Amino acid sequence: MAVLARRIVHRSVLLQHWQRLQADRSTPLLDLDADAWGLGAVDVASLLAELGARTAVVSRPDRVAAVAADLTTHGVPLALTADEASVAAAATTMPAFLSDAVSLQARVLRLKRVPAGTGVSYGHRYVTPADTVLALLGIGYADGIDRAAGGHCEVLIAGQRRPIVGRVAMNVLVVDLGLALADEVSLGDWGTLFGPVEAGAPTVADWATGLGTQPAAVVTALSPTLQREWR
Amino acid sequence: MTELHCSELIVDHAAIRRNLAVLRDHVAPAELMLVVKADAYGHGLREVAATGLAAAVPWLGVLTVPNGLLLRSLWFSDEVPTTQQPRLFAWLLDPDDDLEHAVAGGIELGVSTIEQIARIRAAASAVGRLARVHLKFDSGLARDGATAAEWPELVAAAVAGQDEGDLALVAAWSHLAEASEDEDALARKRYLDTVRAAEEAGARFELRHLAASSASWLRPDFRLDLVRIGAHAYGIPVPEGLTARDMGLVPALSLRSRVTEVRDGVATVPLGWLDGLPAGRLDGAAVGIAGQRYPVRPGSMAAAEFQVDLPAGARVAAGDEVWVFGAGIHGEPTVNEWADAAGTIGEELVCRIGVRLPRRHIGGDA
Repeated sequence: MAVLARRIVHRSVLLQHWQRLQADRSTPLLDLDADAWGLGAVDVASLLAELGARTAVVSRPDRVAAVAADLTTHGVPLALTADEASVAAAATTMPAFLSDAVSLQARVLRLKRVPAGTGVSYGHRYVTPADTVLALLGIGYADGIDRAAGGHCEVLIAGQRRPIVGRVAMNVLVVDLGLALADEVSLGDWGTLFGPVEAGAPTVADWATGLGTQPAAVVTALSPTLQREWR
Repeated sequence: MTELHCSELIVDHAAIRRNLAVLRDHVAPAELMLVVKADAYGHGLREVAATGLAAAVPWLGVLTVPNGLLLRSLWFSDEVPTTQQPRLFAWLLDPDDDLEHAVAGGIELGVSTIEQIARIRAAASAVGRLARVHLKFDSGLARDGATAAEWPELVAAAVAGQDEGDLALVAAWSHLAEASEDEDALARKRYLDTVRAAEEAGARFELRHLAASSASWLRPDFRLDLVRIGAHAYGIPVPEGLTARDMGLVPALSLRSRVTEVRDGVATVPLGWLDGLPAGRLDGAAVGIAGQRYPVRPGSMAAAEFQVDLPAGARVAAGDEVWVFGAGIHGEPTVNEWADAAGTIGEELVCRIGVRLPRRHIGGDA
């Protein structure tokens, strides 16, 4: 099946965080609400059960039953709580737990050579300063990329960080590759929007700075419909 | 509250049908394509496509081949005759797409490159069926679409496929940058000149399509044969300065929740940016409670809750129903008013929120 974009959850990073959190506090509490903040509630719960945890949080009481049913279906033995102190503890833990544990990648669907002075995407908010090659990536605001990321965030592609330019559209965005990369990139190549393990990739913190928000909000903005892989 | 899922989305299919009727009248004699990409703008691909089918919408814009194949398989199992199904149009092709299934399923494909033409022709030969393609011209958006420099060779490759019986050239099409009225007028002219050049080179197109929601509403001369409508079908107005009400449209998506706590003149609502609501200060955002509108406390949007400021004497209690956005009948603002407060557009919010919370579909039979 064709995949335009994917998020990769790095198990090894989550394990490191778990160990660090355990050193601070005997039983770190994680929140399984909102599909464990996009990491995947069943996968996170399975990891927790494996690590010997007995309890996880669902930060809103009205959602406990649905998560519990999901865990039962998947045979994950974990008690759920929504008590105020646990919810507060998990709310502090989650941002540190997930913010550098996820990579986001999208594929190059089109490469286009354009002259200097070409307006790009809705409203022509970006105009190419020189002759260049534009790469169209198959990810957009419906996948959770901020519409305003153009001019503020970058993508790692063929080993270089290149800017997202113009308005991010619902399903696609444009990266200005520059002429130097023109022959290094092929259709179907993956660009990395952010990631902790890809050498030279922007980090979630870079994105948060660019967008003026917090790292956890960048990661949790990713759509539940975006493909997710645990590695 | 321990009630099961006290927050829910309500998708009003009667509103979608009404919007489609309004839009169909407005753009006639141009035909209407209902765009159902991004899970039908967060309203639910399967359900909205079923409403489109029941409303005899002639086209559905599905964006991707897998979306198109999904709808075909649903309707096959429902035994809907192919003649009663909308034509399906997919235009975001992936290098790994299964084009043989796409062609066999009668999914019409938007193409921008000669490589895509070659792949589609190979698929058409393999399955022994005519592939229906729409050639895309880049009239000024600089996304996909063939540039003016690439257009002649795209047309030549497509015409070869047409003449050798692999391809039907359904359309030449483009998408506007909406940079300014003048820029769009220039894009329209470039596009029409380009269509003419292709026809002179032997292309026999069935139709031309250029306009999406905004231009199709505002500019009759942009409608041509077919318009591609997403936002307006869901009651989300695109042209600046126009409300859904001005246009006779009804917002189809509502978000409902319940107050979890009232303390010191502040009500807490158990929804936050984990549910796709916008982070940030949100000056000007509001909710409806019992028919009254109350302001969201600026800066209160958190991961899983936000606060509403209550004036002295407001009779609001824990457990009360809160309408976050919707059609306005409970005092709530539209999703576009929330988008204004967040510095974005309604489409971004419905796409984000719609896929994250349970959806209840109403008004589906008529």
